[in-house]
Amino acid sequence: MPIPSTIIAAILLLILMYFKYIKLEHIEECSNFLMNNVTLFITPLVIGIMDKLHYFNLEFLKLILILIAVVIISILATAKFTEFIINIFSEKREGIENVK
Amino acid sequence: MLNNELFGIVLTISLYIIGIKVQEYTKIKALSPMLTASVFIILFLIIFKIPYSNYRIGGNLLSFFVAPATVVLTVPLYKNINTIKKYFVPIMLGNLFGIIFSALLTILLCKIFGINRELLVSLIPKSITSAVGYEISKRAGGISEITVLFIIIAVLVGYSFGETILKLLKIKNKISIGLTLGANSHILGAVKSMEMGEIESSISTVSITITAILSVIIIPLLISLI
Repeated sequence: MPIPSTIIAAILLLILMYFKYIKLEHIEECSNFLMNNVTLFITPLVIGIMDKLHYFNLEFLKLILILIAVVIISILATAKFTEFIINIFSEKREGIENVK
Repeated sequence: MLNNELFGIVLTISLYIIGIKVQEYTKIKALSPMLTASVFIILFLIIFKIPYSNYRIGGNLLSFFVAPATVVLTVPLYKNINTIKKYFVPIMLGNLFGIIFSALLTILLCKIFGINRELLVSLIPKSITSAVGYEISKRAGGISEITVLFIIIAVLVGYSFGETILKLLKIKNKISIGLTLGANSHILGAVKSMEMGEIESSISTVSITITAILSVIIIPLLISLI
């Protein structure tokens, strides 16, 4: 599957900024505007569910419950895993301190 | 009269502004203006019997900006480049783990409860920032509009319970807190981390972008395995 153009552009932008071809002040104002309003731009996409109303049935309710369970369990697991990784690294290397 | 771009644009922006006012007035951060605006726009279109296709002409013009807004997600990455360099391995591993764990758990639960593939694919990109999640779902054969809805619900769940779960687990490490909130409930996770402290905030901002970039590669791979 090809990589979306936005992600390619994002990585190129990061490289250009890292090597100072593009300076932060060149794009900061514009990027703040875009990021602050991203939920406005997405709103029309949400309205698209108007055409998908036939999906809202009992199965959909099951999906919502699965979703809630997955988010909660993932938070638990990610937090524990990351803490575990950080503990390993703070023992091995001095660069990463165990910030508490 | 409604058959032009202006209708969709004006309707969306004005209800979005009302959404912002509602959020400010109620002081409930989880009440995203996007949510309020969406509900009212849908009600408006239904009550006045305006076909969705009339709205979409203007709506498409607004959602055009989703792409550039996704590209500039890089800017917070650049601003926090020193944090990334310092904690590169934990950030990468933590986000990678978060994506794979949550995708596999979703697949497992959906299989157990007999959810069809189309809806399963729509559910998997739920913890990615909406612009990228929409794109992944569309490309993988999901219903991208429903994915956006799932993303909103996931964000609200993470925002409402994230801090409590972290407290129950007695997680005190700031990197772990920031990463978990950013990777699982992106934008509101970052809002929450901002309330907690500087390291949490910058790690969680970084995690939103890293999760998005890694997901673009990993999630289609995982979906192709189902």
